[in-house]
Amino acid sequence: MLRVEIFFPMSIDLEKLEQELRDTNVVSIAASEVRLFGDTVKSHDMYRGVERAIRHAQKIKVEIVTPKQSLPIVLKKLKEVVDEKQLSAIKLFTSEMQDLQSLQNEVMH
Amino acid sequence: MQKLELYYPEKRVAELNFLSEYSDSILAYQKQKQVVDFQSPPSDKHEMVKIESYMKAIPQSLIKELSTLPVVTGLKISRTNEINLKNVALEQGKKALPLQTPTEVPEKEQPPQHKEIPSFKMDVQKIHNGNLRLTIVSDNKKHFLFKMFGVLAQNNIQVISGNTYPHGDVLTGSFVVNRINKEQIQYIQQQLSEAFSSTEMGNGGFKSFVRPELSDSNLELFFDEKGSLPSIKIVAVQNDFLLRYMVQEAFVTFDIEVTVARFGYRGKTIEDQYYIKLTNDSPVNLELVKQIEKYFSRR
Repeated sequence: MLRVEIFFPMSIDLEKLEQELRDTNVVSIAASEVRLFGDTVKSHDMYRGVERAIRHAQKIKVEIVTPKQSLPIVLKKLKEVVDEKQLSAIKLFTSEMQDLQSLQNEVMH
Repeated sequence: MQKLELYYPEKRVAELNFLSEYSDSILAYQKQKQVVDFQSPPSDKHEMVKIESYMKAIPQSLIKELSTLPVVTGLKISRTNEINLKNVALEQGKKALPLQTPTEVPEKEQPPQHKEIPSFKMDVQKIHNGNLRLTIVSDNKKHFLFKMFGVLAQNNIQVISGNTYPHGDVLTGSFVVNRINKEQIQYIQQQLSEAFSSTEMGNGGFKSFVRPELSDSNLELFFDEKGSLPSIKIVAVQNDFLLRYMVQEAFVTFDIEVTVARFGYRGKTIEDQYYIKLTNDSPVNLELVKQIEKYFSRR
């Protein structure tokens, strides 16, 4: 199993994303609101006539749990969403997960 | 890539500024309530934030630096891979996807030169029929109306009329409300001051509201893109304190920033006009308004 973490702008249509991913054999989709920090979100604003750096942005973090073999199709769907919305600098991370069933099997044997 | 996760008290999160020296990718945090010490009295309990930082490798010096902080909890390091979506082939199964793509290392981040301290000023004026005009001036512009209507809804106060307009770096809001007593004004002022002095949106610290049921007949949205700024008009045939707060929730969800707004109230009908600030990230168009309508129909 793999966990895919991707950060979208707040304007993302989660319902459409869910529909896109529904047929891809994903196990679960979870979304949460986060704040991102870093160079990619750095912008400048004026505060009482003085320029200040703003280093954070609100984002929607979507966590998708999917079997390894479904990753290519999940990424393809995500890319389609990103391209359609013309989004740039979208961060995506994957990490290994172990499902409870296989863990129990390992323990039993 | 490695992912570092930890929990830290929200009020002391500035102590973790040094993380930006190590993180070559991004640093995210999400609000998460957690009790630190069960032995402490309730007043000592902290609201924790979850920090997630993605790095190529976590250096020992960072672990050492974190170990000097007394309130780091739930420290977890895990392995992760970064995938660049640009490298993903659109044709399914055409080529194997690289799980470990080289990541671009951004230039070292400069520490912020100025602290963000949102300003807040409130003035209360008695007008005709014992009604009150609340005038709020704050540079916390992005969530101005979300915070304002959240506090008013919390206290079951309906806005009869009002408007907001930008002036330099601040946004001024004028809200006419029914007569309320002195203690209630002081309480609202305190709540607003707390809400506006925080750059956090969170849920505004508001209690969870029981939302009124919406249907096509009691909430309508009209989109106008003729003027210099696009505007969304909301007409609601329902007298509920929460409607305007729900509208602001939707605007926050869709990352819509309002600059000028007018609020009207006739009989039981709310008529509000919101002029939207244009940004490159989220274009304001009819499609977005339809998405907002869909958002309301799901509530």
